[in-house]
Amino acid sequence: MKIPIFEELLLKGSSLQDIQLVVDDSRIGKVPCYINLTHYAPNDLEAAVMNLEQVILEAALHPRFPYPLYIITTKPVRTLFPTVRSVKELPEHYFKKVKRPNNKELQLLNKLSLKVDKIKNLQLYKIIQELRDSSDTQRRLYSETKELHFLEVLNSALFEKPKSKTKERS
Amino acid sequence: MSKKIGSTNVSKEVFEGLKGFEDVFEDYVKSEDYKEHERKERDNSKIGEQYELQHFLEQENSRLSALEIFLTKKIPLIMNFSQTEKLILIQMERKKVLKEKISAELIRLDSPLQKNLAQLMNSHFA
Repeated sequence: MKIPIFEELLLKGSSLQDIQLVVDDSRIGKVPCYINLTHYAPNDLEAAVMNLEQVILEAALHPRFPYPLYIITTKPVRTLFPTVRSVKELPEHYFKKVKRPNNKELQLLNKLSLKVDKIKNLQLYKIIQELRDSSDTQRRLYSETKELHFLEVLNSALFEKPKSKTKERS
Repeated sequence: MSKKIGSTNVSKEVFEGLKGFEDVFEDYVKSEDYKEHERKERDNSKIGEQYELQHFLEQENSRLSALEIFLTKKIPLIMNFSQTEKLILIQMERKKVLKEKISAELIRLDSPLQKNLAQLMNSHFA
């Protein structure tokens, strides 16, 4: 397996075939990647992002796991992919010097590749959707608890006598 | 403009500040102590670079292990044995009881809220 450091994917165009070719030859998911679309016109950008989403979905890849695929663009765009405005904004964690790994590092890379394959083989879209669904009820529980806390504070203010006064009386 | 003492670049200001000590520094730069010190520094930087990749891969291993546990164990556990709905029901029951208790207290004509409201209204519209 290759060391998981950033790889830039170069698109030849925004058409489905061009993107399909690039995605097929890439290591999306196995290493962190990025596509620089800063020089694209808004229409081309939207088309490229839509086609990229379609190709990624068909290839059963996930835009964030195990390794993310970033899109670099200065224009606002609605997409499944994480977006940043420039290469400098990409996480520094994945910028490392390329060097030949020694035996111990090769062992670690083998372990890493097993984990990456295991995560890639999961039904990531289904799991993430389940997580999103559960987050709705969690939010409801949060708002209910917040309201209950307010009522409990009000209740104690109205019905519980302050301790200092009870001490004075006793 | 910087000048070189041994293999170290020194700025012009620092170099001027060292005037009068050139001979001492030249002797030191040529000495075995200085060469030994430079060799050690080079080795240390090499070792640092060597372990940087290993450390990075270890971090990635632990990150992916945590991600795997999250995706394969924690999320299914939440989905199959979620307590959230039950907790919401308990909270709602408790809220209902408290609301009834508080509203009963507040709607009494001689309650502190009613008294304060009456006082406020009287002071403004009397």
